[in-house]
Amino acid sequence: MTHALMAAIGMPGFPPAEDLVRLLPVLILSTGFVLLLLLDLVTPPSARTALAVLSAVFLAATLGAVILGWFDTAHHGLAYYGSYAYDRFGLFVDGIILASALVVVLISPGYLNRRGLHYGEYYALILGATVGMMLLAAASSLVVIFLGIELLSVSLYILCGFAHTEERSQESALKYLMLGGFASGFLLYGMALVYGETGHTTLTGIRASLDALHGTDSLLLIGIGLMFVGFAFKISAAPFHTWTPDVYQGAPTSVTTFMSVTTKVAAFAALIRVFSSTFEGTYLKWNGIVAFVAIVSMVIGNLAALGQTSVKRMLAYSGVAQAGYMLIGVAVQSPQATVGSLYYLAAYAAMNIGAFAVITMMAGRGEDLDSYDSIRGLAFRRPYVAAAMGLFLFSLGGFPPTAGFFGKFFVFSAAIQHGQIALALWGIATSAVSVFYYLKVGLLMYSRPREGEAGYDWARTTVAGSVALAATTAGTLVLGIFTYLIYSAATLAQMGTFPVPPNS
Amino acid sequence: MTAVDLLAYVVAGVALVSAAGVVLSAKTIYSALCLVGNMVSLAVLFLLLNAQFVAAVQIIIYAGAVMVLFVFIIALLDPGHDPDYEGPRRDPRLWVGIVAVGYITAQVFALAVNGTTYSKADHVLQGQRLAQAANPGDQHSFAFDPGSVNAAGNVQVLGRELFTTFLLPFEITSLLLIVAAVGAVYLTRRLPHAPAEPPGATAPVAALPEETAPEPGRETVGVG
Amino acid sequence: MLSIELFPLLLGLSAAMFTVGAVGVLVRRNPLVVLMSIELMLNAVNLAFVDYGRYLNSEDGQIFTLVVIVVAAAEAVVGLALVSQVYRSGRELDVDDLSEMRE
Repeated sequence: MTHALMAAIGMPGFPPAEDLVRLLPVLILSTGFVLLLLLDLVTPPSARTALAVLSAVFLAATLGAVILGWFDTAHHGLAYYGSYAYDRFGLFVDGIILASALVVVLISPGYLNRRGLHYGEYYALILGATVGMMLLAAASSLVVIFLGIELLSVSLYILCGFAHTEERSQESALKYLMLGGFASGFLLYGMALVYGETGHTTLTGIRASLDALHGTDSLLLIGIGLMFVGFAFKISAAPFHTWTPDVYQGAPTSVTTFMSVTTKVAAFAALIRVFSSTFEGTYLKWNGIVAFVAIVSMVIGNLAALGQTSVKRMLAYSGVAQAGYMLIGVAVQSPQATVGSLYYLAAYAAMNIGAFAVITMMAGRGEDLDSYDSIRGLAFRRPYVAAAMGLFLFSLGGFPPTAGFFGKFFVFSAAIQHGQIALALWGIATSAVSVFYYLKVGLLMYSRPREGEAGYDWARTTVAGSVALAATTAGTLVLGIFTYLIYSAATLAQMGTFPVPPNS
Repeated sequence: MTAVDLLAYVVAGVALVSAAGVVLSAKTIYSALCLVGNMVSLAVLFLLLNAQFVAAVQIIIYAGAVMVLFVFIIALLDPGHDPDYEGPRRDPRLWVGIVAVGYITAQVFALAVNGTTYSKADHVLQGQRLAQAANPGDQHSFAFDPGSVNAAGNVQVLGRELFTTFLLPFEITSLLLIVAAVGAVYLTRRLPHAPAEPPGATAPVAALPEETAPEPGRETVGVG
Repeated sequence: MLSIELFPLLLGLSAAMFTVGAVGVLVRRNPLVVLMSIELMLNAVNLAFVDYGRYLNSEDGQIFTLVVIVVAAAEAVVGLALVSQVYRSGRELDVDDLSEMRE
């Protein structure tokens, strides 16, 4: 609105109208967000599924705009005075985020109805969070990175507390808010120091400053370190992961499905853009910390997941470990490593959303399919769902020919090629550990329920749920079998990054 | 040392003491008052740093709106004393904290005395800004401090920046505010049907001391 | 006008406030005080931004400060809504007592 107005007045220095084209995907989704809020006021409670359909339409339209944008290389570049990058890197990540959000919207109505939580704000907030993630993925200035993180975080705080009369949900939201705010503080102080030491808030300017400076001040390095702490909180890498299990477990499962994947993907995109691309010149000063956090995440995540008795908590710790694997791609400075990380993000989205979607769809009335006991015997009543879940678990454990295997393969091989064999060995050793807990859940699904025990009341699979499961299954298999497709897309994304391709 | 510098020292002292007060006060309302004091003293520092608009916003939004919200919630909930917090002398962690504060502050101060990397480097942007300031037809003519290189902090400059260079962030904040407003309304709304959760599920509540039980909040959704 | 020698002093002050806020988040258990400590951290960030901006003669720091103020307000609104909701359902205001989960 302001934009059109100011452009009409002809204010000097106003961003060109062309920038609106570059912002198109975000604009479509923001329109959807506002429209859903307004329509919620006039929609009767019985027709709220229509809101889900509408949000799915907007997500699909945005996905379409993103795909068109992928081929629209003429417009690629920085917009809004270098604060927004319209490039293949951002669009690749946008694609992952939007596809994940679409799956979440598909499985949500059934789940929310069973839990008695079907309110229109849910979809608006999902779209709001998605807008924040897309902005974060495309952000090329510190201000937009911060605002993107906050937009997605504030939406997610509310979504975590969406079952706001339930104590678990309240607790989850409050914990997430407090630790999220704490992390934002670190991120911001880091940004303040980086801004102060380089004199810029845009990544282009920061990189130019760093290149011109040849030497780095301690305060700048402290700033970089604090920014990394802030990001590590958001991607839930150990030792900044303590909020993850509680928040994941307490939040409504459909929200957990959404946040466990999309937050990580979007924050990783920003992390790669800031660290692998902008701070590349100071790589030797921070790569040790990143590698250390990666190793700690892999070790703590996998070991803690072993002892869990709740599927949600197990997947939360497994997410910590997966963040560790992905961080290898940042700790190793080579284009292959970045591509490997991008591939891993896509694979992680497909398999993790799938696994959480099963938990969401099977959740009974008023309670979540959470404990290991409740998943026992799933295969005998819901063979297809159990088979899909088995596939996701295989993929998370890193078995070929699934997405997870190739994700790990690309990241580890990039590390080995770059001489960081220790990192790859830690990764391989901890993946071996992870097989135990993934298989444990798999075996539980295929073991008969104990005699004399009340069977768990699994929900019926809805049509939308089947579509969602089919899509995530297909995604996991396609990423595993037609590896080349996604790998070349990730390579194009890496090469097409503005302002500077990471590790080039 | 000029009189302005002296004022800055005094206000900085007030800011530090009130910041400590936020964390050390046993009563929540005192923490809130200390935070107001901290914000007001920061606003004075902003004025001294030639950031008039930010100082005004700090007072109006932060010390005004946000803190009023805090005080309102404190008055509504009446948390009184922090039940487990016995003041600074009883808690060894606070002494660790004080040492940490002292150490980190000293480090940052020592590093900052050397000036920033940016200011030591001969940078392109510096030249740009000098050229900008030298241009008399610029909006910079409304300089609070004519001697300074530019008038960073004057309202016109900020306004122009906000609608040109920082247009995108400015528009994102509008989305953020809608999300926060919708969220606050949703989270505090009473649902037409409270979920049928057994009261026994909230065992810790039973152990609460009686005087901290929320009498005014009882008629709301609650557990029972 | 403030002399430039005060730049490190104010940066040190911001570091002190930031650490005090961080200690508050870690030590205190009342969610309202934790939220206020987070506000303190964000205030420290604001001071650092304005201080650096003055030192560098760049207004970007002040714009960033405005953005931080907006975000802090948004976060405080949501945080206080959650706190009041927790309190409404009749629970003690204590971060550590929020442990329905963890089995």
